[in-house]
Amino acid sequence: MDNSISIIISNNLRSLEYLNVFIKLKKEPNKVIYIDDNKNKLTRKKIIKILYIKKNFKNKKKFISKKFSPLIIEYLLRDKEKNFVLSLPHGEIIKNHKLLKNKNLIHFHPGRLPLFRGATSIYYSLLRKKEICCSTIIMSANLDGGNLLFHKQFIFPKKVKDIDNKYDIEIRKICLEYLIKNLKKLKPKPQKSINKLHYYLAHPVIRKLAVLKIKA
Amino acid sequence: MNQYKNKIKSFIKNRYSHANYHDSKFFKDFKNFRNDFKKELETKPTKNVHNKKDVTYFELREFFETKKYNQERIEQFYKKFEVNFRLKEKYNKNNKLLSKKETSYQSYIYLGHLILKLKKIDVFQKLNIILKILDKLSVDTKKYIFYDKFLLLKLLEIEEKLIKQIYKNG
Repeated sequence: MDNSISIIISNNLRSLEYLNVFIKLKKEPNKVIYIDDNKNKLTRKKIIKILYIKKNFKNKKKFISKKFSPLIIEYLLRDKEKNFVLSLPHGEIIKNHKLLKNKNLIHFHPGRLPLFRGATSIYYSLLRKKEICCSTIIMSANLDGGNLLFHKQFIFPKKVKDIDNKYDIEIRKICLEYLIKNLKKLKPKPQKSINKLHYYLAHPVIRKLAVLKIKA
Repeated sequence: MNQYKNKIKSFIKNRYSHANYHDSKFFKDFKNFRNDFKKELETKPTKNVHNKKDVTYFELREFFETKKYNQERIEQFYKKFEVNFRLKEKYNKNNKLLSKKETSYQSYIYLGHLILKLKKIDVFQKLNIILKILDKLSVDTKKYIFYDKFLLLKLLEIEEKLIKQIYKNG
C-alpha cells in the first residue's frame, strides 16, 4: 500500500483519540474529513479545539451532516486520496459499492477475523477463545469481510468495566499507531472463507459471562 | 429492588447497546426475574387464539411440529429478529416484508426452539437470541395468556442450561 493516509472522523471519543494518535506520532494525515452532526457536545468541543483552535492539521474538510451522506460519498470519490481510516457516527454502515471498490476504507475490528464477524465481537472472542484481538481490514461490501491487513492480540484490561468503551478504543488506537508506522510494508490478504453467521449485539448476560473470563 | 426488572425495558428500547451489567447482583437479579416470570406464567390461564393471516406463526409452528428444519429459512428469521427484535406476520421467500403487523408472540417461542437446530451458529449465538426472546416475552404481561406454557418453560430451562454450561466451561 502507498504511504499516504487520511482519516474520516465524527463526534465520538474514538475519533478524538485517533486524532491524538496522529499528534503523538507527529504524523500529518493527508486529509482530515470531519462529519459534524452537532452531537456529543463535549467531544465535539475537543475535536474542534484540535482541528480549528490549535490548528493541528493543515488539510481538512468539514461536512455538517447527521450521517455519511451521498454528498460526502461524492466528495470522497472525487478525492485523489486512496487510504482512509474510518471513525464514523455510531451505527453507520457504508454500503456504496463504488466507494468500497475505489478507496481503501480502513476499519479496526475488535475480534479475530474471519472468526468473529459482526457486533460486540470482543465479548464472543473472550467466551470462545479467551482472547482479545483486533483485526485491521479494508472494508468491502461484505460486512467485516474485507481484505485483512493485520491482527494484534492484547492482554486483558486491568479494570473489567473498561471493556465496554475505554479499552475498546485503546486497542483500536494501538492498531492505528501500528498502521501509521507500517503502512508501506502491509499487504492486504483476503480472509479465509468460513460458513458461519455473523454475531449480533451481545445480551448483557453474555457480556457478564464474558467478563467473568477476564476475572477467572 | 430487582435491577434487572428495572432495566429490561431500557435494554430492549436501546436494543441492548450500552447496557450496564457490572452490578454485583446482576446474575442474582436476572435469575430472580426469570423465576418470577415462571411463577407468574403458572398462575395465568391459557388461550389458544391465532390470527389466520399470521403466516410467520404457521410457518414456524410447522417447522417445529414436523421437525423439518429448513436451515435457510430459520436463519432468515434469526437474522430478522436479531436486527429488528421483532418479526412480522408475512415475508416472501426472499424475506421481503409483506405485512406491517407483528407476528404472534407464540412465534418467538417456536423460533427459540428452532434456533437450537441451526448449524451455522455457535452456543453463544444461540443463547444470545434466546435471552432476547425471553426478555421480550416476559415484559408484556398481557400477552402471557397466549403463550404455550409447556414450550416456554422448556425454553427457560434451555436458557438456564446454556448459561450454566458456558459458566462452567470458564
